[in-house]
Amino acid sequence: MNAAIRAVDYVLPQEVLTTNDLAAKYPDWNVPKIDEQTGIHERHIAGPEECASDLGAAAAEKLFSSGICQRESIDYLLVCTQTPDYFLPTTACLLQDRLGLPRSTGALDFNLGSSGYVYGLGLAQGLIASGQATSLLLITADTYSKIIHPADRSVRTIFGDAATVTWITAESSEQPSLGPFVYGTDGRGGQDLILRRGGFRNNRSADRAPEEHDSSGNIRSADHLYMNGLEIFSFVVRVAPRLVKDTLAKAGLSLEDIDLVIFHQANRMMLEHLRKSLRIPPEKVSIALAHCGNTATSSIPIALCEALRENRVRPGSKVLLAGFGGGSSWAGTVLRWTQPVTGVG
Amino acid sequence: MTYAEFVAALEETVEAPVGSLVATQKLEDLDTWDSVSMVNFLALADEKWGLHLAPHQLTSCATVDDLFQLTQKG
Repeated sequence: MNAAIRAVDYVLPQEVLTTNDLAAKYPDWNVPKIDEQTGIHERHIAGPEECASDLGAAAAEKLFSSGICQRESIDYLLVCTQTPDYFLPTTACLLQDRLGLPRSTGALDFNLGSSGYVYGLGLAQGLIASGQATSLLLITADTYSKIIHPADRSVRTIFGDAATVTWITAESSEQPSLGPFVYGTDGRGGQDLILRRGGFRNNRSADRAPEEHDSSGNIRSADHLYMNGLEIFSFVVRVAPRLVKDTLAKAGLSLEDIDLVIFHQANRMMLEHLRKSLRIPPEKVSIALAHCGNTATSSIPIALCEALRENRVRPGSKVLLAGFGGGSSWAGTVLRWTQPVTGVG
Repeated sequence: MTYAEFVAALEETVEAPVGSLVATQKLEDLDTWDSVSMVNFLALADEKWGLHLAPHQLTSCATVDDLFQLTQKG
């Protein structure tokens, strides 16, 4: 048996932080330039009591209420998050109960950023091909806004909160709908996107970590997300084109065979740079971040969902997915869309 | 690439008026030489000249001429 995506959908929190909001609050930030550079006009921000499990549950309930997927049919739940409700218990276990999934459901979390969705598809393919699962939910959910200092322009202008759900089932087709998969890791990049406190290396104490001003005027502490944008960009330029080429080679395909390329939606400038360096025509690259920002692990499924709504992905379409981000971690695959689009979204 | 071509590309990247940058210009005195324009410069070097510059190479440059010399080393 092979895994096939049956449906994908997403939710965004209600609160919206627009570029105009940021411009009004931080007049010294060059917001028009940031807007042009990132291509991001709005970011959705989770409420004070709204956590990854809440967003993930909302995404799954949206799928169930569409009527195309019955909760009783689910036998495995994968949750990708870097901002779980708790260190323990596992968010997937909380969601099994909250969503009313069968007690025979396998459930686990995995912690990855922007490469996480492709990893999730790889895990799903392995679980289904080995007979461990037949109907699987892959949920991605993050609330980075909770770990971003409001005066840190480098991350506040970029990241938004979101959750997605993907329903994946076993199919008996000869050719897999998902794969092959290419993975890569370079842990030297771990310091370039990091939350320094809060784990057990540097426990969060009652005292707040002291705030620091960097040379660009950003303010943050060890309790906040730090991103070295220059190093991250350099990493992506070094790794992402090779990832695309390796994924195509492993699949025995060329770029001409691919109908749509969905990169991790980091920012518009990076997407344009990758598109140009790989000589991909604009109509073959998905850009879906103006309304939600960089949503980390959720960015690829959100872009896939939007591409389905725009009819840019149809039955028979081949879609190359390439995720890259914190860790440093990267993953690529080819998705052959097999399902009718009705009922999605 | 000539020096003139390099300076023209750099002026566009840092949004400096045409002809305003000289070789001895200190980068730290340029208001627009910030983390965003450094990322843009990395992209420019990759797209235009096929150079994969490391961030530490960029941050070790003090003047416009240092940047030019960096692009010449390839």
